[in-house]
Amino acid sequence: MININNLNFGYSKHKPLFKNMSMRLSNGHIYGLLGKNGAGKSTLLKNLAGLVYAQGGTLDVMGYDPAKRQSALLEQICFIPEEFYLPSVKMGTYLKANAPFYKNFDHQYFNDLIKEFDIPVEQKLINMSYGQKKKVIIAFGLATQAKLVIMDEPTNGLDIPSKAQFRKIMASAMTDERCIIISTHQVRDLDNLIDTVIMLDENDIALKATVQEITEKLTFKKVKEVDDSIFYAEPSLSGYNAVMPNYHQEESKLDMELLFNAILAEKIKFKPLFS
Amino acid sequence: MNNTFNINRFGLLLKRQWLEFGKIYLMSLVVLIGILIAFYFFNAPDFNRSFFYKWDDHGHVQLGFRLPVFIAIGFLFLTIQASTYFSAFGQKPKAIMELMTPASVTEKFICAILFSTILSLISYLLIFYIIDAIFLNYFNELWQHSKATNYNTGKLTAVSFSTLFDDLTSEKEFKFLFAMPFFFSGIFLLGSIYFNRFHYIKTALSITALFSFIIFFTIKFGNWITAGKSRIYTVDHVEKDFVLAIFFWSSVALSLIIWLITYVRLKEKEV
Repeated sequence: MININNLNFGYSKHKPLFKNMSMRLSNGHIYGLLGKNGAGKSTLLKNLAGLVYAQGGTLDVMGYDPAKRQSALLEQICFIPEEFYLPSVKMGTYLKANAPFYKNFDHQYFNDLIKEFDIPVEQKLINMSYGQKKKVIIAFGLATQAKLVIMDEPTNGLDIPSKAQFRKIMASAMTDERCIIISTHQVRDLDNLIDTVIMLDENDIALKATVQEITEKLTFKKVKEVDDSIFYAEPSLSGYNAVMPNYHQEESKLDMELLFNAILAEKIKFKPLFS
Repeated sequence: MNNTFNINRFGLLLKRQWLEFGKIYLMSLVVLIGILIAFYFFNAPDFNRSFFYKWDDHGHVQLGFRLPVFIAIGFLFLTIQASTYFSAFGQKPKAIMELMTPASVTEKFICAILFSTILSLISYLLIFYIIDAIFLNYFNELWQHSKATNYNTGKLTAVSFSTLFDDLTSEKEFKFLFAMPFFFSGIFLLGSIYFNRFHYIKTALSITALFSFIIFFTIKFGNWITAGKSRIYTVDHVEKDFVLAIFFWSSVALSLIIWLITYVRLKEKEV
């Protein structure tokens, strides 16, 4: 679905964000895009959506060059930005104005999502709270039936029940034809949702692996003491939370936050495992 | 489906723009109507006071305030409308929504020209014409039985007021200005996508600086090539028409160039 070849991009010539980045993303997956502040998560998403232009390399999204902003591609992209705008109209008017652009827009599904999110339909969109607005654009984006769903920090501003609703909705929205990319800082919000982790660091991809691959190659567990076999450990109340190679095919649950910190701190140790 | 232009998608885009901005647009028309009525109201010729009649070539009394008001308010209305059209692109969240709307750049650009220039120009002319016609009807009824000396013919003539159309056609040179609304509207439309904030004032400042430079350069250049030469005054109508025609076609060409730059700017817009 998405092919990125030698992508080069930066907001200033002296400070590139991506240097010869290459990656392939397929449909039928929910990708979790992680990275430090300023690592380029949002920028990578914008490159995929054609909101910024690659300075080198090529991007292929469903056979289109996103920089050309062709309507055939735009109607297959659901982009939920971190900061968004909704006009001063009621939901009905918003739907009337925007839904017809998407041939496969599912009104029934939209209404079901709005009901599930408990959004007041008669209220003007601009007067809604940030969380309510976010739910509206998530519902709208998913109802477009777009094949590529890009979400930048989608759980920001959602209350605790809404985060659970979000996870449930996203899991049910996943189909074999869809590719969902979610960028987030709040990794715990996406636990059990994403199936592939992409981690950006130092102008490139530090890690791209499925959850299964990670838990096959690494084990996450609590230990009393740190020894040489441990790649990375963080002190906890009852000892250490540690990441180590999974020599004995042990089953463990992926601790995304721990993995994130581990990769950033000990990138060289992990590289041979995920090359 | 054609990715460059599709009439159904274009129709959807027009509908979308109207649903989102139509209310504000109609409100701006109400403000325009109010301002124009106020100008007619405060500048209405006083029936009880004798005043100096200014006659036009068609034997009508001219309303002296009308043409400056028509030009000044028209300039402001058109440029403000054009300057607000792409202003959303200056704000990241709004710009993302606009750019991600599944319509081509060509469709978005034509939609911008239609709303910011064509629709604004037509509504302005229509509103001005209707208000003018209503007030003229009232003035003509008031002066129905009055006569005054037409200074052009020296004859006693029944007072009837000239229409906006009379004003626009009485000066032959006026037709050479027909591309100017498109030119200025185009500049402010470009300014609305070029600048991220304070579009109107920044565009106004930029064109003031540019025109000042062009005028200064033209005067200096003119002085340089005519230095030491004697001046002969002649009235050559063919030459004058030629210069006016050059002016007209230059303004047409410049308007098209500005539209082209706006199109490229829209195409290259990054958020």
